[in-house]
Amino acid sequence: MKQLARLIEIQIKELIRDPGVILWGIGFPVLMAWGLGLAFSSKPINIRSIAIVDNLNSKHSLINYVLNNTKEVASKVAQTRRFEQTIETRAYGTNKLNFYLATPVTAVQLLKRGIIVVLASEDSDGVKYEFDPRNQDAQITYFIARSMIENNLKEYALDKVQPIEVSGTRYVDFLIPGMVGMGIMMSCMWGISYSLIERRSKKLLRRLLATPMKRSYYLFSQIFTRMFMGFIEASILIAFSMYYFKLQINGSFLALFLTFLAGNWAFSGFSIFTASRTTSIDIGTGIINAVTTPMMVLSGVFFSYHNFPEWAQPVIKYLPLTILIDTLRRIILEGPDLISVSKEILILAIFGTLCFIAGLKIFKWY
Amino acid sequence: MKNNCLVCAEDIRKTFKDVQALKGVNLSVAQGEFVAILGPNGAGKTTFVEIIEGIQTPDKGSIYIKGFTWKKDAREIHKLMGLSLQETIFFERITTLETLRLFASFFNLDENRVQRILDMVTLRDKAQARTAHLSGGQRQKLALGISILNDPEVLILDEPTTGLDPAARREIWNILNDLKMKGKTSLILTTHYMDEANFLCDRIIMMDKGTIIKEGSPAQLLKESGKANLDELFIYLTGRGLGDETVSKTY
Repeated sequence: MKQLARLIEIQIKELIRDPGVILWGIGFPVLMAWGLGLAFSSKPINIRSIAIVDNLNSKHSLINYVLNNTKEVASKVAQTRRFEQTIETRAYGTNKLNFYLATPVTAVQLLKRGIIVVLASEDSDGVKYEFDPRNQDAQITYFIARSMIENNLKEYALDKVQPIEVSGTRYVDFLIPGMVGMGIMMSCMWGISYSLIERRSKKLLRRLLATPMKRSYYLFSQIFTRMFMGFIEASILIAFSMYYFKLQINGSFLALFLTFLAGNWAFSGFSIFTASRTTSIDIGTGIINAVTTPMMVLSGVFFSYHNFPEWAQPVIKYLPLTILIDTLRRIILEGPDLISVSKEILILAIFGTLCFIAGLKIFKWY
Repeated sequence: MKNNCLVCAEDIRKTFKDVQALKGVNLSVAQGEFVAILGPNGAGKTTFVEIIEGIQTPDKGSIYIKGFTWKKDAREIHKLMGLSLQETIFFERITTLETLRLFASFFNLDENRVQRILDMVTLRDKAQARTAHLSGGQRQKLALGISILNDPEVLILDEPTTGLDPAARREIWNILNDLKMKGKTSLILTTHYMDEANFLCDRIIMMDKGTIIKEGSPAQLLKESGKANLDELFIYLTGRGLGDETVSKTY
């Protein structure tokens, strides 16, 4: 037992005597939990969004309900008006419902971008709710929205519920571009950053430098390898999704490929920057987690970042992963031409280049 | 070449925080000469060779390799130098042959040279083995193979046989002895083993506490000191054996 106690003692001392471990291993998770907890948990309100479409010959029950019972707030989505109402439910807690008054085309676009999860439309036959039945959030939003407005629907015998049929509006359609974007980030951050830090710590970089090898070649070889692997990974994921989930690529493959390249370059540059100094694998792992985890949570990989508080959105919107995923999502689901996504591609390319240059300036080879 | 020496170190000084690692060390190595630098841990020998290798920069003093300086002619020096670091790490999932090919590509060497080195370091039967699966001795032989790939004029080996069994050490010695016979390469070797220095080298430099305390050929050192062997001489000069720790801090 004495041996075990001694072993535990030295293991703990080894850990706590490394300031990096304290900072990244203990301090950072606590700080992050504190920050995120404060930002997103202090007000336990579920934000749920629904589009209201008023078609020809409708009795305007839906729109009247929204106009008479909710408060209008500024909408950041073009060609829409936004109204909100907060409701307490026993089963689902406090919910803030966002109602977007939109045209049918805009409503579908909002659905594809994950801004809304339920589309409610009214015509002469009554009210119809459309949503992805596999999306639990959409189901709950439907239940709550329906219970809120059902008193206004007396004029109809019953409302209609049907699974959404428009291509690109299912949750899986939303998820796949997010997964592709996250794959690019993770592949670069772990494949380049971690590998550089590990090889530096094991003095392999130092050994390579003792030859006439060009330093830039080494870094570019890592970036190229990651891009190649990332391309294969993304292609397999997209091909699988096209076959199994019937995912449709609505935009051009050229735009998709250029966005993929720009995203890879952005995160490659970022990887070089984050791996530029440390020789400790523990600290390196902490740094990589510190930059990837917030983006994974905030950038809309699994759910729309529009659900986060308003004040956080300007920051979230300009995170490199958000820009990448938003662009991939638009290309895959909405089919814009190359010109309309060129700004985002350029931003990612510039971000990668700036990080790469800054990283090289401070890069420690051994 | 400065003063006809292939490697010239002039008044090299280096301090780490409050530890003076090198206190004005001078060294000149002629073409084809094999020199051993001996000293206990913390004597400053690794710092000294790392300065010669261009991995560290001295606080004061100059290094000339065939008249070239690290500041101006790093690429030239890399072409004529081969080295093996104290810790030998490779790409672990790459085979012996692939590793040699990689390093050969840095020097624009062809496949014939790779195959020759494979035979020279007697790793032909391990050509397809991943480096992670090599034994300590085989890894050292691979490290040595890499360091002589470019047929270097200056070869620097930092404790190449530390931790190896006698048979593996002897294999490394044989490879180095073959190299010595050819007379083209100069060797700077740091070691803890007096027998290794005695067997391989023309000149022995004994270092302690950041300075050279004695140097000369093995025979000359013994003759001048009147000691029975070099270990005795070292203990006489420093009061400690070669394996003793002097400074607990590693640089």
